Amino acid sequence: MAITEGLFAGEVYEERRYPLLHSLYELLIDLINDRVALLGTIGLVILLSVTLAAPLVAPYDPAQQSLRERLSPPTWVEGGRPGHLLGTDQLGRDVLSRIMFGARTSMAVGFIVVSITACFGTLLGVISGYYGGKVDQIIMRWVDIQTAFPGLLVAITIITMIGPSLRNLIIVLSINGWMIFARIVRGITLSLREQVFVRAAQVTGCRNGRIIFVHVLPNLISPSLTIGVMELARIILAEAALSFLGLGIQPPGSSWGLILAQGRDYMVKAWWLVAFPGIAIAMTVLFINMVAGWLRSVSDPQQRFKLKAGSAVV
Amino acid sequence: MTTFVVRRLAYSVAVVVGVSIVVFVITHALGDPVKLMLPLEASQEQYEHARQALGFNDPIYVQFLRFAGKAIQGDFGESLWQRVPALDLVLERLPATIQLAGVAMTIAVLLAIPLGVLAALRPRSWLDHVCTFGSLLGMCVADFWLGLMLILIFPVGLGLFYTSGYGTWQHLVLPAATLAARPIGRITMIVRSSTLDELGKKYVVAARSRGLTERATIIGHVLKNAAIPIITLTGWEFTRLLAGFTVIIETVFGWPGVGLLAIDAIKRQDLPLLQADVFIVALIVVGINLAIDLIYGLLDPRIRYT
Repeated sequence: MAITEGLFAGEVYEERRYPLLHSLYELLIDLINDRVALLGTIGLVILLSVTLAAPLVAPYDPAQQSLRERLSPPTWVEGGRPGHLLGTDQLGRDVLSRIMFGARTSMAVGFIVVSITACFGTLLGVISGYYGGKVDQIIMRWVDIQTAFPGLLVAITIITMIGPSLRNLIIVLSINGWMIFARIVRGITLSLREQVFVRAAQVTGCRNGRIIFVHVLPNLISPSLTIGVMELARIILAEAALSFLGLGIQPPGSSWGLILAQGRDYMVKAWWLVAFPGIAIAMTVLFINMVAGWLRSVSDPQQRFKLKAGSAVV
Repeated sequence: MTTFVVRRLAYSVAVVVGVSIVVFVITHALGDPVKLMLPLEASQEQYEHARQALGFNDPIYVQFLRFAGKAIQGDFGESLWQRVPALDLVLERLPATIQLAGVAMTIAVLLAIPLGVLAALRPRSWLDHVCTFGSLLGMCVADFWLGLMLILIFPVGLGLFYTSGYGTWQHLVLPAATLAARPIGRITMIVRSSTLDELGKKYVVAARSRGLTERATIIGHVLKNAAIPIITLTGWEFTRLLAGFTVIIETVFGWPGVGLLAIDAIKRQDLPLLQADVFIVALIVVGINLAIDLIYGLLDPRIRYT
């Protein structure tokens, strides 16, 4: 490792053979040291593994009914059966398996919606921030107006008219969620535009498209990731709420919100039908938020300039 | 200052217009309102006749202008379900929702501000950790699930309070507590971080070295400066509650507010009622946002010039 001098007096850094790997390694050390984030990451990894491997890991087929075993409590409660760790529902379906399979839908919806909103929001944000002027004004006005909409109510109205389904749920959640990406990406693009390397590229004659792709977008990955993780948590909660109201995933599909809605009718006799799916949601969102917090604190110094969020309230 | 007010006002009007356009387009273009209004046995001929008579065959912008004109006068048509003007139904239910949201926010603010300040004053203490974790938990929990759990614990398990209904404070406690969970979490976090920021500033050192008691420094100086983001966030959370999240809680607890009315309107395919409901809620939300922006402008002179 050679020690070299940087451009400015006193700046000294070590040259590494594999700089990207080393940065990732430093990130990993950072993660391990931050115990909260570590817990969140481990929790998420376990959760994602179980979700992906649900068909292999779940003790029962979630749709398998067994009327003899209906409404049995969790194993550790009196009256519980050894096979069903978290009890069974009104049709004898195993609660644990249903939660595992419900996770797949909830997480899938979350990831898909966040991907769509991230792409769309980042695109609009970059255009708005880079080109400025009238385009910027129009786009930001659109963002402001849509942010002020009563989101849940409009979502409910849309779903009423086009019918509840998985596809419509994704559409509605995406429509409601892109604005934050646009706003924050625009702020960062505005700062990036003034940076030396972008100016240099412009002066040497690079086309705008190339500048955006090669210089601006890579710097947007980190903040977009941070926002994306936070939005993932929010979308999972929103999907659960809509499915609970009957406006999201419909039977025979299952998601956590739907399981909660179905369990609600038997709640008084069978508290486990409502307690465990909710705990699953809470734990998932908690882990995601832990990781999001860590990502936020990690990406700030790496940016080396302040993120301007464009709104008074974070 | 005047330009600031005028700009915010214009923006609010734009939002209301935007929302009404969206609601109108959704209900008229995406579905078939006429089919919903007619009984199932109506023949094709009657359907066509109804379309013509009700003006649905006119171009969409004509329909919209007609709708907008009537809406300004407060005429949203009659509710298909109850055969009374839709607006009256909505206004009748409005106080219940505002009461619920108001009480929830009051609880949230009364709890969150002291907790947040205390946590900021004792960073890294067990109180700080408990507050941070509690706030995080409050923000992570699904609100309808919390409502269901509270129902299981209190009325079902302990016999206290009520599972649903409206009227006495015992009916109000559980829905308000559920609704308050996320705001408590959010506001505590922002109070804590805002106060921490302020405590690091030099005027605090100056005040302390002048001999001001801790209490005087906190209340007289720190809180006043930390107040701005706190007030803005509180206002935001309040509008967020009104804008949609009361819907869920009202459904869980059977609280007769505008949220539950919207769900009922959906179940009964009652379009005029749904339109009226969404429009009124949007109006209120925009109004409160406007008030927040104006208050923010009053408190922080720097904003007035943006």
